[in-house]
Amino acid sequence: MLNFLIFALLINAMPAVLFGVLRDRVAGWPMPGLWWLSLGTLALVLTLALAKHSL
Amino acid sequence: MTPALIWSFARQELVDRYAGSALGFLWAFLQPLVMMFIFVVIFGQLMGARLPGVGMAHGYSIYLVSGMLPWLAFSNTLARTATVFVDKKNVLSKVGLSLTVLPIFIVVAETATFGIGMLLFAVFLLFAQQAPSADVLALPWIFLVQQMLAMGLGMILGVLNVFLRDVREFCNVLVQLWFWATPIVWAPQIMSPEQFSWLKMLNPLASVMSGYQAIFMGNARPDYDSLALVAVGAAVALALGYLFIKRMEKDIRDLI
Repeated sequence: MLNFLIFALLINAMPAVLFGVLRDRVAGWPMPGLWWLSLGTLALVLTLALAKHSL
Repeated sequence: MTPALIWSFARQELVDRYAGSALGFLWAFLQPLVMMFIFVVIFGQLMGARLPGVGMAHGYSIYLVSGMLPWLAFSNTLARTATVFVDKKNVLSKVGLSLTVLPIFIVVAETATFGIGMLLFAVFLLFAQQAPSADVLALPWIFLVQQMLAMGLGMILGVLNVFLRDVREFCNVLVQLWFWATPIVWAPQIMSPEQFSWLKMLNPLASVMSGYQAIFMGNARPDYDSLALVAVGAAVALALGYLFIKRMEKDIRDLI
């Protein structure tokens, strides 16, 4: 359970930190929302896989 | 749109919902409380409804509430997002808000309502001495999957609703049909495992609701593989909604 919490926080902090750092740069790319959505979905799928194996 | 503005819209959404009522925001607690009372007393005690293969006294009540609370969040998010551009036309015509980000305030407001319902449900579980499984820690991510799906579909319907107002009524019908096609009131045991696998493929919410029920009933684990597939499908719906709004943005602003 503790493993899940720690790794889930790390996995989900990644897109949040990247969003904070790269927000302005990605805003210049075509369809910036889709890049952030893809990153968020990756974090979500990884978290679900983590839940399956560690809970 | 800044997070502060989204939060302000979400707060306004909750305030508007109970505006003019004497009890105000207290209704946010009373409504789930009454729903739980009905499910526990009427279904569980008076009707004596039982789940197949589950012996515990409040089994069916817990099953119902664990499906109904997320369903309400899903259906409200879908229905509200489907009408958001028309409902907020006064604001949108005056301020150049981002149409793709605007529906997030509905998700925030529904998350707050869901949180209140879950809090009351946790108190009931404590009294019923029914501990959820460890998978409860994954609940926020399962909730995120369903809200992404609701918002994605809602955004697509929201664009259509600007051009064709029948979409609001269509959405109400869709929600009703979807409710009965999802194992919330009925248990998956009434069909064969093969039939239920088919249902999970056709109805993404079947996996989501079964996940919640597994967590709170403590008799199984959520199907994380199916949930991951639903998450990808929800992301596709959200991406399509985003692209649809971007493509139609000028027409939407002209029409509303």
